[in-house]
Formats: sequence, structure tokens, C-alpha cells
Amino acid sequence: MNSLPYNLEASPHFLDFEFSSTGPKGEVRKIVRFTKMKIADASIEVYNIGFGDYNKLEDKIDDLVVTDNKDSDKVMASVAAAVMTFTDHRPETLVFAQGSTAVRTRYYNMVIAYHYKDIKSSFDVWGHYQGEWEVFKQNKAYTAILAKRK
Amino acid sequence: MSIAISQKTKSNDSRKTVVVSKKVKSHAKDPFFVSKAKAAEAFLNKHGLPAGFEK
Repeated sequence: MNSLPYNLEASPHFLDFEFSSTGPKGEVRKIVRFTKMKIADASIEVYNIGFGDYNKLEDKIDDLVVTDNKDSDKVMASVAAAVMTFTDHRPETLVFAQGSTAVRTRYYNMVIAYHYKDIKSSFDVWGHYQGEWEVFKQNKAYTAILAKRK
Repeated sequence: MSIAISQKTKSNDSRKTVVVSKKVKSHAKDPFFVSKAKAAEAFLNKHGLPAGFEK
């Protein structure tokens, strides 16, 4: 990532990560959570990565809000740092990512594509395209992403 | 109390910015993350995994 990540705090089991985005809209607390899933016939553990803003007023997490804190590169670098740390501790797992909307998923595709040269040195990445998984290609619009540490 | 988990010296190593903190609570039962994981689970149970990761 070109941007340096924010400082992150991790739970002792490295399943929950938190950091604060700061910008024109003030300070926004971001939560990243890795949730183990039950996948039929899987020969490997699979975790979903969830990511959202903590809404202090309503005491809930939201991923549909557009924060617009002018720090999206730094936020994505922070999420990448969470993935890196999580997979440091659980290298033999698959991490599944899918945006909450098609636009978000497209954005994640673009971020991975832009940084793919760096990412592929540490991760195998697959994209789901027209009903099939394939090795990630930078020019495809995938509906979901899976990654595993090399 | 926070514990540094990495002492990497490379200045652009993202992991040096991560510390363990008991203040970070588990969101395992948070409805937001539970529903996200259920949707992801449904997707993968429908579409499967890449070759080599299925029994």
C-alpha cells in the first residue's frame, strides 16, 4: 500500500481489530472482524472479513454509510494490516471478502488490482466470476474474493 | 494494557502498527457481523471453494 495504515488495536485472539479514521468529518471508529464459517466439504478453515463504522450514538456497526473522510487509501491500508496480522497467526486459512454493495465489491476489486503486484508476493488470491472461482486477474470484476497466505 | 506484537524495523511494515489490547471487545455476537458471516456462508455453500480446498 502506498499509504501507511492507522495504528490498529487487536483483540488477544486477533479476530477483532479497531482503528480510528481521522479527517474532515472528524474521528470515525472502524471495526474489522474475522468470523469463522461452516462451509460444507471445506478442507480448510474459512473466515469472513467484515468491516464497518462504529456508530456511537446508536451503538451499532454500519457498512452502508459513506464516511467521506478523505482517507480511503489509509483506511484500506489499515484493513490490509488487519488481514496481514490475522493471517500471520492463521496462515492456513482462507479469508473471504465481499462488499456490502456491488459498488463496494467493485472498489475492493480495484484496490486489490492496483496493489496486486505486492499482494501476490504474500497471498494467493481467487476471484468469483460467472459462477466459478479463478486465480485473480487485474482486469476482471469479481463478485467475491478469497485469499490465503503463501 | 497494550502489548506490542511486532518489533519489525522496516519502516513501511504495516504490522508494526498493530498492538494487542484487552480493550478491544469481541464482536462475535454482534448482529452486524453475524448477518455478514451468514450471507458469506450461504454464498460459499452455494458456489463452493476453489479447486484444492474441498474434501
